[in-house]
Amino acid sequence: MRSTSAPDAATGVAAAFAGRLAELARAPLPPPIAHEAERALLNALSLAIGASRHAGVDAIVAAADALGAHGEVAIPGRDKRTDAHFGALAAGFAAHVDDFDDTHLFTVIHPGAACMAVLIALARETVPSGDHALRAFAVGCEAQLRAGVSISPEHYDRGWHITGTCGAIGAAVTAALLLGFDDPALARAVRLSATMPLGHRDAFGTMAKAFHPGKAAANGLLAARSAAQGLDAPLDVIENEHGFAAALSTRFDPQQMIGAPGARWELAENTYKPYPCGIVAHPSIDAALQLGARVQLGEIVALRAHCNPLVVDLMGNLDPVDGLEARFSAVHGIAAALCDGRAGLAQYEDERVRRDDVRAVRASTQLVPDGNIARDAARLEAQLRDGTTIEERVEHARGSTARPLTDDELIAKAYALVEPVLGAESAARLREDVFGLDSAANCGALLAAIVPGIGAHV
Amino acid sequence: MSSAAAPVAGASEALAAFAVVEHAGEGFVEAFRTAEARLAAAGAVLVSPRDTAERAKIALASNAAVLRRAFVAATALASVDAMREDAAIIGAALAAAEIAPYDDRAPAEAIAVGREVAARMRGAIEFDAPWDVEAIADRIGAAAGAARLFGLDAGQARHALGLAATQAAGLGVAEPVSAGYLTRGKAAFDAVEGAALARAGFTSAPAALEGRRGLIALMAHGSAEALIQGLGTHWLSVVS
Repeated sequence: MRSTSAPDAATGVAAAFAGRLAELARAPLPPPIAHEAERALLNALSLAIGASRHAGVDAIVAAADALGAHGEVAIPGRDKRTDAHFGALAAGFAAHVDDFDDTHLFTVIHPGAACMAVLIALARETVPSGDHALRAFAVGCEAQLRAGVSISPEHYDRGWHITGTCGAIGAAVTAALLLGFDDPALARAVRLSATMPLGHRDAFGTMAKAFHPGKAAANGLLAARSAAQGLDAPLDVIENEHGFAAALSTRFDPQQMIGAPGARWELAENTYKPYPCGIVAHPSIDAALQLGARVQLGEIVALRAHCNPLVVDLMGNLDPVDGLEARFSAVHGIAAALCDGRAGLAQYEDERVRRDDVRAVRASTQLVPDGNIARDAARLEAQLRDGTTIEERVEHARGSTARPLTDDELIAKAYALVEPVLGAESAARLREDVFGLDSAANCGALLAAIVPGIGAHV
Repeated sequence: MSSAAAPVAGASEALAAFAVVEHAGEGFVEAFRTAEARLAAAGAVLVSPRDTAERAKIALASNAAVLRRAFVAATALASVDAMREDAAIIGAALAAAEIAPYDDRAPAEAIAVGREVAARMRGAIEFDAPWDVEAIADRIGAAAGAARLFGLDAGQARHALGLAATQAAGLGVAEPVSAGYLTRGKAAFDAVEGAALARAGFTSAPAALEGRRGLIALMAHGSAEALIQGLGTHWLSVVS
């Protein structure tokens, strides 16, 4: 596991890693990376606002109150403030709980939630310029992703929820940069965060799954603030045979953390889900939306969805009984797209999933697995009442790396999440404030846009 | 599964129930006495400030007094060799007792239960080499003790233990130094936080220890049955 010949042998991988990250944070973000960071931030914030009334957020707020926590940190979407710890926990939880957040496909990390949560928890206290805030967010995401790549894919495959384990490292980096640390303090924060990984995949299907990025954010705050007090973990905490990498994976490639400074950005590979369900069903939903634009639902007698075999394995539920099951049902996604002309969060609410119209379309839809169809492609065949058959093809699903969500699509997603909670004016402000963050004097406007109070919120 | 015999509880379910039920018998009496002795020893340590704990106190991002108390006490105890083994269990119990209904036996009962859960985590399963076994066992024990002091029912206690399991951490490389003390301070903080969350309705994996991708599968080898063999009648924590 050790790279004894590398120049970092004396000071350790964490210090070299922190040095690379500090270089990234000192230079202006390359424009495409700044833009990608803004997209990730908008996505994470709008999801946290959209889920702000989830029972898990209620429980976090109730626990914070019962324990006597109090403070000025905003909880996105709510008219309620708390301390930095619970603020970070609530925001990171809410951004992930709908399984609708960003995904770095190689590692399966959802990097936005934890780093956004740290930014919101510390922005009031540290008063960064917009550019500084965006760099701290982007480099924190990058830290998560590079740490994740160095131990992937074995780490996730064994059963670790990588968004929690690597999230704490990224969160510590975002916190350290916002707090204005020098390189040695940043290295201490990274080392301490490496002792605080969390997340077993056994938690999937419970609130504990989204607890992982929330607590990763809180752990990152603790690691950074402990580093500010001069506390530290051993220099080789990552590469030691009794350290982070050996504990969490059978693979460790330190060059993925410390090589190629600035030459590559893993954040550039970040993707965004257009639909709140398993990603392999997305091309079939795209095809259904195309079909719905061509024919009336009443004209369709039967549907055959030709798809990658993984769709049947992972999304093969033909008769989901609630929203959670529907997230694993490709035929529900197709049915919702045809009945409602969209497949957003509303199409995955329990009551919507159980209605007769979508049940009828699901029942008349057949999944046809085909090993020749790529994971981001699909072909949907519709048999019509007049006896003819028409077909829709999707080469690359919306939101795939070959066909990233456009800014307009991402903004439409954000509006659909934010508007029901904070109103249209807040949704518009949020969009402006995030996309204008790199030139904003501070984060004040952004912090105002994520809570009730602007215009006529509902 | 559908036979008429009483269903055998999984390890997580059984430990959660053990954490919150009333105990009696010779083994428990002995465990309670040991816990009282540990509390007294902790009291003697906690009268003097300890460097790592003082720094950690400033570093905490929560101002919730009970969480701060758990973190600082456990970190201070962990920095003394003789008190490291159950630092999180004692720190969490001391803090949780402050907001629990007054009962002068409750803190030692919680520590006795927590120490028993921890003894089973250390003794019944074999952790992979990189892990700080004592810290992980201490964390699960701390969660059991906090669940008891918070008056959780068995179902809530299971969620509290599940939150502790999914946060189980502690690296061997950090064990003997200040980062290892923080690991124990954090375990106590997390135990109290988890109990409060579970009481407020937060959920976690129902079989967080023995599940297919739970603590034992990811971090250790060994059978979950061994964890709960003789639980409640045979007190491993007092057989030295």
